[in-house]
Amino acid sequence: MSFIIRRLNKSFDSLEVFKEFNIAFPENRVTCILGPSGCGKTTLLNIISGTVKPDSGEFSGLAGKRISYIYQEPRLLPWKTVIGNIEFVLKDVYPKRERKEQANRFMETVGLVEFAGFYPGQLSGGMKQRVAIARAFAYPSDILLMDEPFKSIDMELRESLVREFKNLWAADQRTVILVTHDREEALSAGHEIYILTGPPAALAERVIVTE
Amino acid sequence: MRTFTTRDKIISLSGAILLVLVWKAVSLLTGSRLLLPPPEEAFVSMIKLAFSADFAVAVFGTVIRGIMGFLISLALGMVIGVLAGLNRTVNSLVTPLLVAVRSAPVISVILLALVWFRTDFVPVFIGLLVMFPIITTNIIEGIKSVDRELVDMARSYRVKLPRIILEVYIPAIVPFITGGIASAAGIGWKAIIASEVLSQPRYGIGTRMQNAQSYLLVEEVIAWTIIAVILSYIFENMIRFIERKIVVWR
Ligand SMILES: Nc1ncnc2c1ncn2[C@@H]1O[C@H](COP(=O)(O)OP(=O)(O)OP(=O)(O)O)[C@@H](O)[C@H]1O
Ligand SMILES: [Mg+2]
Repeated sequence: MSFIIRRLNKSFDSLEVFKEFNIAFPENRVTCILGPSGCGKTTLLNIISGTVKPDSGEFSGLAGKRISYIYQEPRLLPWKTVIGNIEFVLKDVYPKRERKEQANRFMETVGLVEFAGFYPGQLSGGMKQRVAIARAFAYPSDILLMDEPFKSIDMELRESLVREFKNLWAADQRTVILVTHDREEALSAGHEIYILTGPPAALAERVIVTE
Repeated sequence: MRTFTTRDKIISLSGAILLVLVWKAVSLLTGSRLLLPPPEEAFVSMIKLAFSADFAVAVFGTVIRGIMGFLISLALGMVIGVLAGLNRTVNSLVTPLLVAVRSAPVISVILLALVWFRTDFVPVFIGLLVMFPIITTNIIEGIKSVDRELVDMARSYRVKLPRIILEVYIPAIVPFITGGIASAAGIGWKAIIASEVLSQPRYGIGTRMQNAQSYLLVEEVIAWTIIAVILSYIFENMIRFIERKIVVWR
């Protein structure tokens, strides 16, 4: 089983970003997407998450799937605490007690339990991104989208976050689509790598990472 | 948020004392207590007023009119502001109304209101007209400032729309609403007293000011002015206090 997109079309005004584009993502694997700026990587993730409407396209294996998303910026609600931000996405899914447990468990994995009551304004950039990672994993998603999640984070911290991500991923092995500019990161975190060109986006190369 | 240190407070207090000293000096120079009575006379007059029979009703009358005008402005401003903030057509539709209401001279609106309404309601109407555009404009700005990226994040996680409105939109516009309320209340308060002077409702600060002025009781006009300033100061602090209680994440 995999999650497949066929004959995707999407234009912004006169700019064709996707033209009869096809791609498949294997389930329970980390698939990385590399490609030049402006080729449509973010647009592809937004189409999958449902915040951008495609002009046309067939999606198989997407119906009813839950999506979590880690962006380049943490995108935390400034008026909610760390635990409040995690619970925000869990509220429609779990009853109160389970929700708290779930939030606590993932705050623990990213090492932020002591900061549960802090507001994002009181955290460093790296801590905020950790909250976003905890939120994405705490949410019981079938597909996890990541759009250059470590781009604005310095080298040292980035390595530890990538390690944390790999540990978290190993625990439940959900389907991940990771967009990155960093070949090292793609090779280290991914099982498969797609290299795109464009726009309009086209698959230039597919690399299977062997360990 | 800015906090006042003891040093700031001492400096502000010195400013207030300096103001009273200048007032005293000018009143000595003019030498006419009819033109500018000395501060102590205004102060005594203020104490007398505060213990006089109709003081509470007069203050209460004005405050109630202020609150009524304010609540109607807030309700109208919320509905129109939210619609205009979310929808460009509504925004373009209400912009001329807001501009017209905001730029019309208060005095000409008072003159019209005197023709249209009972004396009691004229100040309420004026308060409404003055405060409504400020509150509405603030809410429109607030909604426009809501971070699209946060809304997209919530939608990706399939958070239901009522919760997106309640937990993303509303908290984002709260600081704009309280900011609008604070400036609207200050300006509305002055306009309401001015329209009481002209419309002469039975009980009101403006009514009493006008009476004092017609008997040339200048110290009493000044005493009422100080009372109005003190009340306005109290309201502003109450609004700021409530704001701090709500906007805890700043
Ligand atoms: N909402 C939009 N309106 C108009 N054009 C858009 C919109 N979103 C994206 N585009 C255009 O579509 C193209 C693809 O954008 P996208 O953000 O998907 O690229 P990307 O591959 O993520 O680039 P980067 O690596 O710089 O993040 C770009 O040329 C961009 O200008
Ligand atoms: Mg991008």
